[in-house]
Amino acid sequence: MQPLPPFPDLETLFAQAQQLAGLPTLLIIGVGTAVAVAALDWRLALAALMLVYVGLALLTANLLPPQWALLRVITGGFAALIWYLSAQQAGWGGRFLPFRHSQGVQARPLASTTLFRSLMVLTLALWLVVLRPRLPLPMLPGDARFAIFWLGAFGLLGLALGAEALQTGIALLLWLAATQLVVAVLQPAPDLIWLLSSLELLLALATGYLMIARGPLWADEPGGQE
Amino acid sequence: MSGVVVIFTLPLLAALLVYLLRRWPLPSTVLAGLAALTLGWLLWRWPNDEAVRFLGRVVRVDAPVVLLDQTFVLDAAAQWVLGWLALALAGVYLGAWRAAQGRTFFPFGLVLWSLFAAALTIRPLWLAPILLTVVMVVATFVIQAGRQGSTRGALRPLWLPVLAIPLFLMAAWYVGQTPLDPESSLTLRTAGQLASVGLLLLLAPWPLHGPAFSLGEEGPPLVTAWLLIALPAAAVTLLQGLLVQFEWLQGAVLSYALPTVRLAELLLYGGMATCLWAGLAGAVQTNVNRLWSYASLFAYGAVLIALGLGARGSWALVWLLLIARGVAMVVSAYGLAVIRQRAGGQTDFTHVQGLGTRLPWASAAFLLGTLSLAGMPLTAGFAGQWALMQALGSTDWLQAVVVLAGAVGLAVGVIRSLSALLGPLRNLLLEREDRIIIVLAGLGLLAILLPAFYPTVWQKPLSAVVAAFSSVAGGL
Repeated sequence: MQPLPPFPDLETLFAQAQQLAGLPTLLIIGVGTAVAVAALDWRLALAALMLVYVGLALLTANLLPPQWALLRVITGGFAALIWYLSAQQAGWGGRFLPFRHSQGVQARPLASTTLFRSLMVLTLALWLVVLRPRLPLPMLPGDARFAIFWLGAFGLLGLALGAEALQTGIALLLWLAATQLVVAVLQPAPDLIWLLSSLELLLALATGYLMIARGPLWADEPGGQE
Repeated sequence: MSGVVVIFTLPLLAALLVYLLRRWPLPSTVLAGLAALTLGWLLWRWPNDEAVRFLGRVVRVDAPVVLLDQTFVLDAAAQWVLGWLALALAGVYLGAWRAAQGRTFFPFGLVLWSLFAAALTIRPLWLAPILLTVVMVVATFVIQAGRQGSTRGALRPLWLPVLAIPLFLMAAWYVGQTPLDPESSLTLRTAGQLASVGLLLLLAPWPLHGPAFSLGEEGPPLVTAWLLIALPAAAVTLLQGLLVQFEWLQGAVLSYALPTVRLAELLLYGGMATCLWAGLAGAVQTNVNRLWSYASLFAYGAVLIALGLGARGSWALVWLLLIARGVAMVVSAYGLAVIRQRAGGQTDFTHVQGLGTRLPWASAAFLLGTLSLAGMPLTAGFAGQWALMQALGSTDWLQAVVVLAGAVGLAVGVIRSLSALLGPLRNLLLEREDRIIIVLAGLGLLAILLPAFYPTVWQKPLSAVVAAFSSVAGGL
């Protein structure tokens, strides 16, 4: 039996992943962000958020040593884990699509609100792509600048569209992810990165607690008690 | 030993003890209240620039301390503000003894106070919004306090501090770039622009008032009252600190295209809009909790106007309004907490109808406290409101009329609430308020009425705060 080759170290891993630098990384972040904001299904939103953090790690690896880039994935992973456990605790886990119940009948999986959210997400995405050459803050490198504005804009859209704790939490984490990128480019100080990462985790904990306090999404609707 | 070490360790140690006693209301109230009172007393008593003896050790109050690679310094302004917040916390604890606000509030309140202390003492000041966000994140647990259902009151206050963080960090970067190109004013202008928008988000005038209103509407009244006292105080102290350190921030514009749009103007007009909106909305409310939330918003609008007046106003006016608002908020929140508890958590007019006949003292504390928030005569809030009206009326009487219209709206809301509270009682088995509730409400009423008849009581704290804030003349 052939011995297993040694697992590549972090530097090698990120060096290999640099093949995805540029457009593929931006696409990963872009699609992940758009889905995380548009999706009403919590599992889809969490999966998309993880995708965003993987993309952020790839982008950060260009700006900081790989250990710091890995911190992005760890923070995002912990946040997603906290929210997954909170959703289970809150009783969302029984169904794949915890959409609204009305008079005992489950609404269509593709509810009108999903269409509206998708439309808003697409409009914002198009607007940002068109504006890309004219984005302010010229001191930031091109790809990082576009990712920062993308994450920030979708964070704001998420706040505007989201009424539930999970949606607000995701939106705030997107905004803080943009902040982390700004810090990585302008003031890469380890203490500041740690402080912001701790804040991200605290925010995930607090919103996780609020998810549990809110209970099942359909519990407060007429005829929707499980 | 530095003063920072005392203000970080003392409340955290007390919080640990209070947490262990959380199942016993009286010991936890006494211990938490004594800890807050001691902190307030020490901070108001210690001279900022001298060494003092504390528990047999020499404490240098303003000596810097490095913790987790960050520097913390207790300057005179932060020392006074933290003393005020500790005393307000002690008052809130006293009220929470008989009006349950959630068992965790007693230890968490002290933890929140020490986090506020960290936010007000951290250097560079640009990092303060991060710590203020941490405060709000931790506060989520005491705002929701195990309540099932809507989470809006705990969730929305997180928005604005989080949004402000990158603006302050980028402003700090631009300030750091200035020595590299001292000829160009562009870096300082951009830093001023970013810092101004960040401060605007933290100070949150209309139309950014939504989170504060949601917090007031849904949170436990006394917890909310303290947070709504502490957050503006922290934001105003941060503003003062930035103005002291970066004088060029005075008069910084928000947009190159609109050079007349400065932070001061936005606070002035935003504050007026806040007052008017709060008054109009308060007049038509059919829920005493929502009325209280609008009243607190109105009083906050007056503070923003005083800040926006800049050279025409003063730190004394800002703090007179903030202190009077704080006293009125604690007293009215206590009355509201008792009413809410007896009404089973429902505060619409239907559910509180007639409660005033069984809870006359608590109802009086709520109504008089709300009137004080509106700055009505014969209440603690009048002196500040009158001074503000004079400052506004000296240049444009219409601005004073706008604020007055808001106050009248709130008075209408109070009259409607009084009518509901004195209406026919639905639950005839409802017990009357006990003696301790009456004594606490009586103390609250004294705190509202005494300064109205003896306005000189404001003189000492105002002299102290003006001395602490005197480094900046004329505000924005």
